Parts: sequence; structure tokens; C-alpha cells
Amino acid sequence: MLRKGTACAFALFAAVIGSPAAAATTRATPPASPEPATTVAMFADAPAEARAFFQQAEAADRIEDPLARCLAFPDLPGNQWPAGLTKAHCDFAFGPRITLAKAKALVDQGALAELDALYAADLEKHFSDVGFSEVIHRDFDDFDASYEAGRFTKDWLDKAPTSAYALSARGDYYRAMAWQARGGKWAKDTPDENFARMAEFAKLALDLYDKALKVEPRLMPAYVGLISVSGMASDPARQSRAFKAAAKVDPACVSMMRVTMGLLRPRWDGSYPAMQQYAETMAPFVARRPLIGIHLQDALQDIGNVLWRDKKYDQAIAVLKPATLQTTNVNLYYELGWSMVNAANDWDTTEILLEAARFDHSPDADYQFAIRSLGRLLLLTAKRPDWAARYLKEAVALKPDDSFAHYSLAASYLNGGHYAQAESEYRIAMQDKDQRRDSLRELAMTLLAAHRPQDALVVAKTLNAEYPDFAWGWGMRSDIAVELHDGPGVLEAIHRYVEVADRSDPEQRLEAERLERWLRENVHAIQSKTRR
Amino acid sequence: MARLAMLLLAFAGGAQAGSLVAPATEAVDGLSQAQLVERWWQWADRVPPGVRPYQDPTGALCGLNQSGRVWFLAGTDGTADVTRHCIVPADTALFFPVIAMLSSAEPGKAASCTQAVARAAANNAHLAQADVRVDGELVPQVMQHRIATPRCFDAYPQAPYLSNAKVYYPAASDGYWLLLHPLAPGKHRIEVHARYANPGSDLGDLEQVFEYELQVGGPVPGSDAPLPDYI
Repeated sequence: MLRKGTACAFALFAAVIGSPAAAATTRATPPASPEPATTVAMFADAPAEARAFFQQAEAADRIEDPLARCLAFPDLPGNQWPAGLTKAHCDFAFGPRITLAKAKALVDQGALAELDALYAADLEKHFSDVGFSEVIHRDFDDFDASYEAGRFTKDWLDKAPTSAYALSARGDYYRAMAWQARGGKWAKDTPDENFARMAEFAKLALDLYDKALKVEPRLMPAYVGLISVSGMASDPARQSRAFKAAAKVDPACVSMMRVTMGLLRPRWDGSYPAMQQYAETMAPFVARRPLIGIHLQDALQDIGNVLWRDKKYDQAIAVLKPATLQTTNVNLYYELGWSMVNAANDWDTTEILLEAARFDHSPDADYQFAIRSLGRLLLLTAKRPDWAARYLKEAVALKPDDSFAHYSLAASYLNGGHYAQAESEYRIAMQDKDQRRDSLRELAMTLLAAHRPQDALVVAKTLNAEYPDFAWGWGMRSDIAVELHDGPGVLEAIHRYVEVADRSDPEQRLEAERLERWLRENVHAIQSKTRR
Repeated sequence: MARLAMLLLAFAGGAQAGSLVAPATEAVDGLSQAQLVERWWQWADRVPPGVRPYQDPTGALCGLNQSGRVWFLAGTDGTADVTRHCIVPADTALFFPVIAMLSSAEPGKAASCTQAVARAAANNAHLAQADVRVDGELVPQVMQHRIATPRCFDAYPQAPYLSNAKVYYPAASDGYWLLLHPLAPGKHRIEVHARYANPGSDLGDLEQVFEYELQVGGPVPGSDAPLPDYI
């Protein structure tokens, strides 16, 4: 982003040499100023049929409340999603639920019975025709591998050792710890000790889920956990028993369907026909339980994932894009988005990632990568820096050591005219050698735009010293010299630019040739100015 | 980052616990106990979250990355009370935190050494409990074993799972640690119960309860040994 030189930069030093007065009133401007926020100008480059989508999406993204935002978001154009799926998915993802903070407050107050009653009430909704909800699954979402979840679930279970909900929550914590110990690398790249620890945590989780289900045999989240973790503990018999028991309690549970589809994938010794057969078994429930629609296309998602991993992006898109018209499964959208980033046009990719970010409520690595990509697309393709910053701020918050996210956020701030925030982010990004050169250059640009040419000069000197062969760095230096009315400095920078420009880069070559012509044509004026 | 680890200690049956505990000024193998503290954190952070010694629920991996005449034992981070079973070679000293903290810079949150030192120290003037028993005998005067690293250090010099370990520099540690002289061959039990009482401070309510059932002498499962049957 913003890695290239700008024509406006070199226009400036012509001005300062030819007319110092003109230079005094001219300042560097950000390279991609935001377009006016008018309906006419917005998304003018987008395909005509998609402009309304982007306008509605941007408006929805201004809504703070996550559920209201999700409901206000435009549906994917041309979709044939099952009736009721949009609302059900938004409610499931962002509706009210029991959070760790809420549960902790009650446990700290000693209100253990009250907390159990809240969980019991949500569990009842899972089995009620009136006010039906599967929120009981989301009530356990916060019990991940975090330190907070570990401390809290220990405390809760210490105080309520027979609570099915406390037992299941602690099981979820250990299940997440098992996944954390396993890590995300291929088995061949994973040390034995990781697997050893994974199995230890998995066994702890299994025992806790078993205890929870003895207390409350309808506790669907415990079945989901049991089925998921029994695979990690290499206990297929237990897994099979749990699946049968859960199916008796509720055969149309969306969370059960999710974990079952996962286990039916070919990579786990399942098959696509088995996945498809299971989808057909579940399809009749969709009218009554629309969330089932999320997972009916899981076989296509897995096929797309395999194609993407094999870098067969066009084939992946051919499989996945039609499937998005049938489902709101976020993971399927991500598979498509990753493939489109590599092989398709940016507007389509932006649309797909926006729709994924609409429904995703689990801030994991995929989500972080998606919103970082989305932020860059909104900045570079849609040219909406403030909208881009909305996503990039979240990307930075989720992964504070992601220097590229910091760099991208800085660029969105710069382009939005928020120079102080841009400076702060560039100074973080420049600590990483991979982002340092461009961050230094754009930080200098930011400081210049903020009318701080002396500060910009300090940064530019660092840039030129560390990257003496980076032509655009000398371009930046010349802009600053213009602002400082430093004629000799301008000339020196031009000469260095011409000297180091990478002539294999068409843009640098053209700029170098233009500057060389300009130097030849203005040689007398230059000599006159520099003698003064 | 503020983390906390704690451990236990061991000693020979029938002996007085105090006689097995080395004074905080005693060095071993040319290393001061402050240097052992640095090495302990580097040992703990050599493996990624989830596999760290202070997250060990059973002790099955207690031999991982151990070497030399001093073995490290681990406490917990307060997320679980644990009993670990561990086989330790004979003639090996044991070094562990009763309760201690590490503070370091974090991604996106740079910290100076002065800040790291201050954060690591914050709870250690508020030690509310530090009971350590070796084979049932109470170790006296644990509070005299407070060790703060005299300089900041790199807690992640061998952390291949991190893409950019340098963002965690600098680190500082402060807390209560024990160095035990080698235990007599045989079975030993170490119990630790320690907590801070520093309301409002990060980890100011930390409480740790853990036990080690030690077998001193005999075959030691380690990184070169077969893993347990259930793996």
C-alpha cells in the first residue's frame, strides 16, 4: 500500500525552484485522498449491480450494536439462502447470551444457583417450540484456552462441583487447551510433547463432559464437546456412543451438525458422499431449524479448501462461489475469499469478505486475516479509508504483533487525514524490518501532510540512510525539501532519485526520464536559484 | 505480560526440610539463583502455550528439556490445582518457584526494563501465604527466598514457535524460589500452597496449589525416552 511514488511529489519541487512563493502555498497531500462522501461518487469503480450492496454494507458497518449491524447488512446479491437463515444466523451469532463476565460476576457474588438457572433457561429454549433458540451453545463460547477462562472455570467448579454447566465449561476449557497444545501445524511438524499434552488435556475434558451429562443428560454442548474431544483422545467408541445419545436428544441441533460434518470429512477418514448423505438427512429440518442451512454445503466447502491448498484457485472459485448462494457458512466464504484474493477481481473479493465478516463471531486467525485483507481492499479498491480503518483497527487489536496490520491501518489513517493516528501506527509498523522501509517513507509523508516538515526530514534522513538505493525515498526527501524551501536539497534529492531509480519499473523509469528532461530544460534557472 | 509460576520442592524422608533448602545466596554449578531464575523461565518458554511446564496437568512430561545437575520443577499459572508424578535422577538438585512472576514486553506493548522490573515486583510485597512441605515437613522462612533478577533478560531465546521473539524483550522476574539439595533416592512428596493478596493488581489474587510425587533415582523419562502409552 502506498508503496509507489506520486506524481504530486515531484510537481512540488518544480514549483519551489521555479517559484518559491508557489511552493509556500503548496503542500504534500496524501496519495489517495478519500472521495467525497456522496452517493454519486461512492463506489463509482464498482460494478454497477454491486454499488447498492457496498453502500448498504458501509451504512450497516456504522451501526455499533453487533446484532443490529448484522441484521442491517445487505444479503449477498442473487442468494437463495433458506428462508429465515439470515435472521437465525444473526441472532445465533450476536444475540444476547451468557458471557464469561456475566457468569463471573454471579460466581463472585456467590449466586451459583442463579447462574445455573440462567443456563437451564437457555437449555430449555433448545427444546421449546415457543421462543426456540440454540443460544445455549453460545453460552459456552467464552470458555476457550484463555487465562481468564482457566481461572474462572476453576473457580466456578471449585464452588459448584456438581453443576452440569460448570463441569461442561471446565471441559470446554480443557478441550481448548488440548487444541492449543496440539497447535496448528501438520502432524509431521508437531513435536511429540505437543501430542502428549493434547491427550492429557483431552482426557480431562472427557471426564468432565461425562460428569456433566450424568447431571443433565440434555446438555447438548457437552455432547458436542465429548464428540469433538474423544477423537483427540483416540476413543472412537466413546465418540460413537456420544453421537448416538445426542441424536436421541436432538437430531437437528446445529452444533451437533457442525461437529459431525467435521468428522465426516475425508481428511478424518470420512468421505464426500457421507457428508452429502448426512446433509440430505438434515435438509428436511431446515424449514423448522434454519440454522441447519449453514452446514448443508460443508462438502463443497471442504472440496474448495482442498483445491485452495493445492493452489487451484480457479477451480476452488468454481466450486465455492455457487455454494455461497445457498449458505451463510463463514468458513466457506473464507475459502472462497482466499482463492479470490489470488485469482479474481477485487470487488468480488470485497463483497465475499464483507459477507463473511457480517456473520463471523469468533475472532480467530481466519477472521483476523479476513478483516485485514478486507481493510486493505476497502482502502485500495473501494477507496474508503475510514471504512477500512474500522476493520484494520480490529485486526490490530486481535493480533497486536501483526506489523502489516499496523502498517495497513496507518495507511488508512493517512488517507483519511487522521495524521496523529497514522503516525502512531507507522511508528509501530516500522519496528518490523519487513515493514520498515515503506513505513518510514509513509511516516515522512504523514508528517509532511501534518505540516511538520522538520519532523518529516528527520524520518526521511533515516529512510535515505538505511535505504540509499530506494528511489521513492529520495522522492520523499525532495518533497520535504520543497516544503522547507531548500533548493539545493531538492536538487540533491532529484539527482539521487535519477541515479538510483529502478529503470525496470515502468513508473520509476518514466518519472526518472521526466525529471531528467526537467533538469535539462531548467538548468539555467536551477543554477541561478542555487547560487543565491 | 504478567505470568506466574510456582513450584515445589523436595527432600529426603526423615530429614528436616530446612536442611535441604539451600540459602538464597548459594550457587550451584557456578550459577547464582538469580541466574537459575532466568534459565528457569527460558526453560518454561522453550515450548509453546499449552505445553508449558506450569500447565502440566500430570507430570508425565516433567523430564522435557531438563539437563545438568539441577532440574527445574514448575508451579502452575493458577488455572488448575495439580498433582504431578515425576521421576528425577539421583544426585540432582531441584529448583522451583514457590510463587513468582515474569513481566515482559508484549506484541504492540513495548516495555522498558524499569517497567518490567516494577511489574514483576508488584505482588511480591503482598505474599499472603507460602506454605511448602517436603515429605510433610514445613519449609521454614520461605519469605527469605525472594529472588529478583538483577537485570532484564530474554525469556525466549529458544522459542522456535515464535515468529518474532524479540518483541517480548525485555523481561524481568521477581518472586520466591527454592533450591533443594539432591534428595535421597526413593519417593518424596512436595506440596506448595501460595498466594498473593494484592487486590486490584494484575494477578494480585493469584493462588497456587500443587504437589509433586517424586521418584528420585531410577529410569527417567525425558525427551529421548518413549512417551507414555496413551500417546
